[in-house]
Amino acid sequence: MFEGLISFWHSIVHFSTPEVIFYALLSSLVGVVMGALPGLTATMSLALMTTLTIKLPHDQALLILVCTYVGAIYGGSRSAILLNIPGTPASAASCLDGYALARQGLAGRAMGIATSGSVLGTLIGMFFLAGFTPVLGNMALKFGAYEFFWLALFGVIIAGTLTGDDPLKGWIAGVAGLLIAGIGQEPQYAYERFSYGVRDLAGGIQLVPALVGAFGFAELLTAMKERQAPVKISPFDTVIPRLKDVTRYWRTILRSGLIGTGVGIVPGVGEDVAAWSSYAAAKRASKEKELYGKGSIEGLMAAETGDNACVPGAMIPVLTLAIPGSAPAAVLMAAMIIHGVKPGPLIMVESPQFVYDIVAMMLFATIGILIYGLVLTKALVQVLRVPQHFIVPIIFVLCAVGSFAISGRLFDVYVMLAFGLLGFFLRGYGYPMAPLVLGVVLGDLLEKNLRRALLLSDGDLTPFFTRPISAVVAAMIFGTVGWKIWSVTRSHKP
Amino acid sequence: MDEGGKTTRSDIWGGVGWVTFGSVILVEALRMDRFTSMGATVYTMPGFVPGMIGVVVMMLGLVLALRGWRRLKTSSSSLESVAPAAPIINGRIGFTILLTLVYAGGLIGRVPFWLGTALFVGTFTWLFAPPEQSVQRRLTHCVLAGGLTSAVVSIVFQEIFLVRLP
Repeated sequence: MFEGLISFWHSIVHFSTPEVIFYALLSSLVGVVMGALPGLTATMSLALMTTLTIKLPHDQALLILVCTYVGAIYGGSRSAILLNIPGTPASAASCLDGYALARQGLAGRAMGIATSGSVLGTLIGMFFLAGFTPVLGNMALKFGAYEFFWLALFGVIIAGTLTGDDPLKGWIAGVAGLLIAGIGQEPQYAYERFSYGVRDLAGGIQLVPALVGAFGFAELLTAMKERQAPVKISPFDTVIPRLKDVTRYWRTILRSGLIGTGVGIVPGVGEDVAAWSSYAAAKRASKEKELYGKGSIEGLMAAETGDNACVPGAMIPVLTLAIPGSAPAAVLMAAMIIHGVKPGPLIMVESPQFVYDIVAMMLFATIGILIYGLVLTKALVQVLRVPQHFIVPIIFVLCAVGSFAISGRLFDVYVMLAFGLLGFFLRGYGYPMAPLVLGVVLGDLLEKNLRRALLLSDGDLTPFFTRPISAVVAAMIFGTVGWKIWSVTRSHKP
Repeated sequence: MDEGGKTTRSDIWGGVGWVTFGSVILVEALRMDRFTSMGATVYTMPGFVPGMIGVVVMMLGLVLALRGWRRLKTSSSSLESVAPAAPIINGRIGFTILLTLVYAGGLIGRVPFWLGTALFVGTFTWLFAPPEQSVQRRLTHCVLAGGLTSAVVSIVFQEIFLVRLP
């Protein structure tokens, strides 16, 4: 306990330099702005910032990314409240009551609730990130190839089940992601798969250009589908959060923080599910259910606490298992690997301080969003007035330059273009992108561990189902798939 | 599994496409070198995992196609359920794709970065500006947006982030 606190203090001291604080505040601001702009998601912001920070030292680069992540999830609430358009999918639940409050002339109060909920949610998540990661990290040391295979598959299946409207299409997207991960030299014999003589493909598809395409370019195309309606922002009251709103709903805040963190820990699910789950749980337990959807302070608080608590929660499986808890966390994990940090079970053995570094980065980000929430809201909402035809080409230039910056190859720009078009059309036909990304990220882990496990057991499948942790994860996978099939079959009976 | 009930014929064709794609992957996996001379077992062969994934893609594609076909059959009397969905691509998207392909696939790496970027941003801003805007205003916006973006991105990437530009 005290060792953890001392390590956390060391991390804070390490980051408390003017340069790092400047980076933290600037990147939180970038995150808030990008999150606030409809069509630019946290995943896209992180993918772009990964490319921008490629040459920075790893601790500064990761600090920038963590602050962008926290800022973007928080920033989504601005447009949800003011325009009824979620800036990021994580803020969709905030539209229900946030916009209703804004229509009652209480937009400032709604933004204050969003700020307090987001700050408290991140703090609750941070507490569990600091407390759970060492415990889970030690547990993960006992995991073998069987467990890692199931966990990788679990991430893809759960992401497919929960992140779109149609689990079947989610699973297809996830499996397609696994296939994309298999392009290039395989790990055992360095045999080139699906490269067809293209030299650049022999090394495989680089994750960041693919993510920039699937989340950046594809989102820009989606945003361009409709002509942007003129933005009208009504004047709003004070944005200073009220202590009464926090003390009155402390149970909701605590519950939503726990739910958000828990959802974050589940591989591949993410902030939008965390927000909706927290909102639903708060509504079930509420004494004022009739206010939900009509401007409930409790509902908005629950959604905002839940989605921000999910951010530190999503980092727990990244750090301990190298399995991302959400799509933005997948990008962050890719960035860690690019910067030479090796997340996974050995992290508590090889670099335990890094876990507390991440917690300290979250704290800096929380301070950043609190400052912007209190001081800069009126100025920040002006960003929502910038016309689409100015923002879209600039973001696309960043997508192209960022993809090139990773390795200095034009090939990566083409990868970005290809994934952007693929992502746009798949999305148009109802295939969610998060499972695809999880598939690309987890493909290598899944393949290596499946082959290793089968080699160890000489082809015997029994250990996959008899080892205790393996059995539990396998049961969860089959349970999820079986439950979905059963629920659909039942719904089609006359 | 599509609780929304908006399944259209595209699911059937999508399913057929995935079955075809999975079959191609399976065939390709079977054609891969097996390294038996180096002592590889079936589990360590390079094509083992892609082959399995190919089979899974085929199965999922088959379920998607069958589900679409069943829904089409059961709801053939309802025009709404089989009505084509809104087109994925429209004129705005078409122009956006064209411009982005010309910029990222053609201009970058072939003309100086600052020039390509200024041309792309300027053209984009011009094309998608509100039609009610005067030509003079539109021209000013397009020159300013193109010039500023090109200059700021070049300076920020090269001087601050020390990244080489294409």
